[in-house]
Amino acid sequence: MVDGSSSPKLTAEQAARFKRLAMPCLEPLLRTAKYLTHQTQEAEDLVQETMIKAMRSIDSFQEGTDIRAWLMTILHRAHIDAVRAGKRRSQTVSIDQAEMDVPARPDSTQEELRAGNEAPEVLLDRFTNTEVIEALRSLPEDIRWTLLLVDVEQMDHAAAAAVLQIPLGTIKSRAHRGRAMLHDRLSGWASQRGWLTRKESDHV
Amino acid sequence: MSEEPSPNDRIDDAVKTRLSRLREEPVETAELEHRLLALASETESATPRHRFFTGWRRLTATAAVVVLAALSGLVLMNLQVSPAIASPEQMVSLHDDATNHNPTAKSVTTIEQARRELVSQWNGVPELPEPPAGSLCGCCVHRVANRKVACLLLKDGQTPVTMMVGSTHDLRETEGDTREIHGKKFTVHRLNESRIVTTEQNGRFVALIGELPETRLLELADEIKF
Repeated sequence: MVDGSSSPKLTAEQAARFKRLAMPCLEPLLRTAKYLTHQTQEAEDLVQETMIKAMRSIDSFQEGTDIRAWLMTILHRAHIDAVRAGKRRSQTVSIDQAEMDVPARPDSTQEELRAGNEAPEVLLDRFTNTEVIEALRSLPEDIRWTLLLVDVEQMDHAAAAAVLQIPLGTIKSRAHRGRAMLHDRLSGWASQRGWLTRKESDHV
Repeated sequence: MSEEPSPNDRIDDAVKTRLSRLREEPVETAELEHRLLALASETESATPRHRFFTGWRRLTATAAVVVLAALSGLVLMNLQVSPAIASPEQMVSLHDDATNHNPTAKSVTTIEQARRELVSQWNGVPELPEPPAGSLCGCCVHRVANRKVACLLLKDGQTPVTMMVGSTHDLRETEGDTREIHGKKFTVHRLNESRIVTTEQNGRFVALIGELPETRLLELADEIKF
């Protein structure tokens, strides 16, 4: 159970507003937290903390604006606070480090893999959701947040940029870079499993 | 004139599409939803609050708050210290949750893998006894009677069996028919088609839950290495 889980003591109107507006967003919040922390209990604690904060400040939410983005912003801050407080393990891998960590592929280059017979969509379909989540988890946290908001939750770039409090251009470049990193990571795994061979790519 | 998408664009699109499919993964929100709705429902009284207390009224109110806080603390401490009773209904419900489309279950085949996985989810996981050879197929952390327990998901042939492991500080067994095999005491419960065999060994509360004949479940319980 998270700290601060005590009842925020809402008025009846606030409670009704919270239930009507925020509760339908529970699933995307929990999914994002799960893919972020990779631990169900931590994810539930994080989302509970987020929702309690949302209950307390439900009066400040402007109806007609994007409630999911508002809640994701609280979740993002709660996650940062939790990581800073050392409550949760964080993937503090730098972007450069993560690129170096892509499994080694002797005798093959990224270009060779990209040029292989396996179309990227076909290759990606060979991985289970669990494996894709695992690969996602290995990316730096800012990249992971970007891909979770933009590609998994299908938020538009502007909304995702507002959640993460970064410029629009940065979110776009992070999304492209993140996708390439994820593909490289999965290609590395595919190569290790023998799904991609140099022979195949040499034919192309 | 239409241009062929570059390899990088194809990769970009393919990853984007693949990631969007992660939204199809089921997310179990029921328990959290229940907790949040309960929190949101604890609303303030509709009557307006008195903002100003004066003299003895403020003193009386402060004293009452202190007494109430002390009492609540005592009750809370008592609740936290006393083990909860795991009822057969709760254990069967846990078995159903653990074995039916459980998104939190992790696939494992050895007790070492299970330990690693469970410790990564819960620091306080109790020492796990070893289930019958070849039966282990998964694990997860769950709650019963609002206490955390480790669940080892087993298969006896095609029949799923849940081996629940908790600490006797947290959970105790409810009374039932007792059996003794090879010097070990077991308690048997029945609920509809389900059978439950529980035992307390070395500070651990262990339950085997499944739709198996009582004798078979007792055989499996006897094979557990504590």
